[in-house]
Amino acid sequence: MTPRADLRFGKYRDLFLAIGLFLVLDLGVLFFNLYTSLQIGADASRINAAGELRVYSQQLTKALLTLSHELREEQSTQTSASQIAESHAAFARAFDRLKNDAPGAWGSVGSGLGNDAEGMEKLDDLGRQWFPLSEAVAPLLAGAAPAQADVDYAVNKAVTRNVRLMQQADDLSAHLEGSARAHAAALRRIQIGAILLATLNFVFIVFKFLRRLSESDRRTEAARRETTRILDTVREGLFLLERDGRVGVQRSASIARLLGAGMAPGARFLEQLAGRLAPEVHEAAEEYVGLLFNKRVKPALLEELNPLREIPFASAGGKAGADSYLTFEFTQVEEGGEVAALLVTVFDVTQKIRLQQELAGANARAESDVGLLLAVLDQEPAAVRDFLESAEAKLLGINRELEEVRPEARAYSQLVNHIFRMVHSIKGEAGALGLGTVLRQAHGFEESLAPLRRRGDLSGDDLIPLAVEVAGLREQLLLVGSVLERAGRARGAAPAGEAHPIRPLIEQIEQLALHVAHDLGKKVRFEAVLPHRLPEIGETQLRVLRESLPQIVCNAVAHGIEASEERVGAGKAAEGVIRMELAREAGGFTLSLSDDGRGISPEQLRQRALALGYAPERVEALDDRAALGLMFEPGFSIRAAADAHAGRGVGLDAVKAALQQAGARLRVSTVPNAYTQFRLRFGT
Amino acid sequence: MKAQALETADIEVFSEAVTHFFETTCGEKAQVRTAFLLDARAPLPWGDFNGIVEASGGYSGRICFSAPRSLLSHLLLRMGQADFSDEQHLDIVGEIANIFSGRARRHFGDRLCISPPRTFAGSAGAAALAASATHSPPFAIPLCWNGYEASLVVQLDALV
Repeated sequence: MTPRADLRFGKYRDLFLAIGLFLVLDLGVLFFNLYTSLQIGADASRINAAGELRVYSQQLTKALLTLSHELREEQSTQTSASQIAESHAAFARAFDRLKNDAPGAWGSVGSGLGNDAEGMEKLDDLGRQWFPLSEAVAPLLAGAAPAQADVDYAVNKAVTRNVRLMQQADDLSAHLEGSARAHAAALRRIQIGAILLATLNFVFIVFKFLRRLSESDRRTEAARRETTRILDTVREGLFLLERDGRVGVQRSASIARLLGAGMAPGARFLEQLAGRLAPEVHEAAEEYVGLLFNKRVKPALLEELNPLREIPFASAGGKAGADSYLTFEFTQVEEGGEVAALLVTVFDVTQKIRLQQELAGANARAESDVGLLLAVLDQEPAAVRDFLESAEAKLLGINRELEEVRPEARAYSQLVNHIFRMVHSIKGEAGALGLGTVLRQAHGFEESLAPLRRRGDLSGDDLIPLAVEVAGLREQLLLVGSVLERAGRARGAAPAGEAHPIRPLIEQIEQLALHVAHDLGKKVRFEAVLPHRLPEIGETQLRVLRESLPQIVCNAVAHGIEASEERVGAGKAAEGVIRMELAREAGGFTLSLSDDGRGISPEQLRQRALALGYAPERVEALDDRAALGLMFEPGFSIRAAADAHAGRGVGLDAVKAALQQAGARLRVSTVPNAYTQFRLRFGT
Repeated sequence: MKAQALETADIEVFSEAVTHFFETTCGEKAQVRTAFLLDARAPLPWGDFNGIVEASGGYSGRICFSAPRSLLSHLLLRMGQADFSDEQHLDIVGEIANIFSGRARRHFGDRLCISPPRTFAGSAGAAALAASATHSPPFAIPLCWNGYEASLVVQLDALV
């Protein structure tokens, strides 16, 4: 017997015993009734036999007197003789029935007197009167014509004994009737007693049963109250997930707060999560729940695979983004060797994640601040100051244009593209100066602008994020200004070097080239070739170089220089070379920037133009030189995806615009798989 | 305590509140014309009638709604009003400022406490206002409705 079955039997042991006793009592009364009814039947038979003794004694006496009279009158004696024989035989049978204790049905008492000593004594007394009479009658039964003397002798015996016999038969009857009454009384007593016991037993059973039922109800209610209290109080979400994917009835009150009202009993768990988790997480969750119902997968592995840990969870409104962060834990509930359900525990880890994010943010800010300080210290203060002035002027220009823009979709679109170029220019300069915080902010600004550039239905609402981005970028510039000021104070009154202004710019470009190469996992060497006597470079020319060179060098590293493996495969040195050369020329100077990379393929530019939606007839009509001109068109980029260094397609059009504004000329020459060179020719 | 600049969604709450007000009141949305930064030191672009709510609690700053008399008169007319007194114009500009409270509460939560709206006519009334110095520059959001231009200025910092 299993422990559970044993426990169940133990719990209801009293009840089983009481019911057993009730059945025993019932069966006992039934058997006793049967036995007593047989006894009463035997009593009736004996009383009847005693009555027969009286009747047959009387009949025998009467038949003897009749026979005697008929003999004297010489009448026929046949009838009386026959009556004598019948009476004698009937008397003898009744006597024998009482005397011999033949067993009754089912071993009950027979029709004899058996153990009834008093009755037997009375029967014996009666026998002592009967046997002499029977002997006197015996000769009359033998022959057809009895002798008168025999008849007279028998009549004499019968007359003298008949009264006594009848009296004794009456006594015996009275005795037997008394005995029968005693049996009946005993039967009643036993029946009453048994019924009383059975009733008491029944009352006991009912009492016991009701008490147990009430106790069980009380315990169930207490357990229910306790469970409800736990489920109402527990901060974690708790519920059972059935095999059919539905939420169980019992669940903690916090579920509504954590998962929304939709996660009601009977709701489909995964359907309720759809739209509130990232699609890939939801897909992973579906597969994971399927695995959890598979008994053969190891629990330790399941725990590792759980995709619902510290996941961003959107509010019931379905608005994108993380309103909270939740962790779901699943425990298999096994029944009959199968996983019948999953106990799901939901933890709100929003605070923990937010703290982690704040900590990471604080660390990043601290690193940025240090990085910014180092970057500023590493640069010529004048270069940084120039950058700040230039960037601030650009932002002021952007803000003024935002203020004055005409409320038309076309004007909004033009403004967005213009802002894009301005921001990209700021980003390039910031990158050249190693100002990571400004570069990242400008990159974020570009990310906000990118989707707007693709739309033709812009409205004033779309400009609100741009104003916010302008404020953010301006804040970063102010921060750089503040660091620059402190760095300046730290430097004290140290005399500024008399270096030619192109030297710090070349250093910045070198740093930028190495930084971009590092980010892209490429190997690059930077070479600068300067004339012995440097040309004079004006303020405007210097500003244009500061704006243009970062774009050109970024493109050279990102698009021109191949990955080391590719270079080695093409028979080149693993390390690419970026070469900057400054040369004096009559009436001005030339600055060229070349790379020994893959060159620019006009065909590739044409293909890219088609991918960007240029008219095929226009693209086909372009010769190779004209195809190279595509690089300078707004929004044209060789790369399909943008990163912090290239791919926006605004770099070269801004370079071209700035050079044109400064009266400079730009020439591009390239040989596929060999080199690309940008030559910037400035007049004085 | 450190001041933190607002995000785009935080500013859009207020512009949406105003445009929604026009839509529910007249069945016609006001259009946001553009958005730009104001010089924090320069005076705000006060209109003929102005409504202001001051922020406190976990935030500091103010939100101002300014509109010309003609816009508000037109609005009153569309609302079936026959009284075009200054008081009526101040009432309606105050009502528009008042809708900031409910919207802002839903978006920012209990940390943002907003004062009852204060209204005044013309820039002269602004002199009585204490200067509001915030870390973030004020955002100006010009709104167009039926050819009129009103302006919304959001100057708010989150204190962390």
